[in-house]
Amino acid sequence: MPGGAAFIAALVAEGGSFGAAILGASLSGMMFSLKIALILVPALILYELLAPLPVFERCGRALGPWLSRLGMSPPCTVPLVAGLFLGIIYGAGIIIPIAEEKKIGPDELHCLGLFLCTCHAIIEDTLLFALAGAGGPGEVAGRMLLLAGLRLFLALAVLGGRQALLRRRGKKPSLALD
Amino acid sequence: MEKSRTLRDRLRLGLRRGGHACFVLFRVTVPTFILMDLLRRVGVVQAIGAACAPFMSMFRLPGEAAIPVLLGCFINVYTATAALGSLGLSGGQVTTLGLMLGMAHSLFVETTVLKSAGARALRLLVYRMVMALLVGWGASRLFIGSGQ
Repeated sequence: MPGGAAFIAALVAEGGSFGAAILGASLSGMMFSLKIALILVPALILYELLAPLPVFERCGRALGPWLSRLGMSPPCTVPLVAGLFLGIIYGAGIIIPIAEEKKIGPDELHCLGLFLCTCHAIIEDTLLFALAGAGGPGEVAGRMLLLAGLRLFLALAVLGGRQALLRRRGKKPSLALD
Repeated sequence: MEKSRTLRDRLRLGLRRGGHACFVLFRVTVPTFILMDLLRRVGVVQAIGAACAPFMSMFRLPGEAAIPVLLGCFINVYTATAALGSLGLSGGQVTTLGLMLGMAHSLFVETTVLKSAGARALRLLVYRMVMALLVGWGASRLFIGSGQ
């Protein structure tokens, strides 16, 4: 993108007027948005198409035992997955009603919040940041994997560490592990 | 029959989400680019950069990088991305900023959502900001060379 921006800037610098500057900036803004939109929109559509496949539902159920290690019980799965993929704002429509049903205890809710604060909207946010920098498709893909992987790792590490700390202090973790 | 209908619904849902993202992207990016360009011509970007340089240098980032961070925290990731794009940073710098912004963004809206869900929202807010600083520091050591 800086290449395109520089090209337009060079074009506009000749005129040097206020109007030309605004035109140049909006053109490079549009090119920047277009570049991101070209990847972001198909990715979001693909996600919506693939998400209901039974494979993913099975994955969700398989997640249960792992959740308990992180201090959450199976009812947390749906809001967790919603926040993870849709984000806190888009996922609010799913997260808030489930939380209000009171099937999720306050400590579990805190765990859920910690996880989602560390790692959410993993497709959209990550793509945005990955595409914002310069570089070819390989570099963008690499950066996206790096961003998503690191955030997921951090979320797991923080919650795992928290549970370990609670256990060491002799407090009963929010859920029995054995 | 049933399946194809849900498939079409899914497609429509995806299109709507993609369209919305696209709309937000353009609506936010173009004005941000124009504003950043004007502010740079007037010297405001440089002034913010100079003021924030000591703080941002902890993360091996130029002072101007404070602009996307602040925009991301107070507004949203789209605005932050637009500002990020107009700065022309290196790949490592974008990765570091992406991680920091991933931890702390849209703080007002997301904290409100978490609060309405009944979570201890203020504690989570502090956690996010501390995490953003820690992650930014760590990522800068990993992804940005010390020769900056």
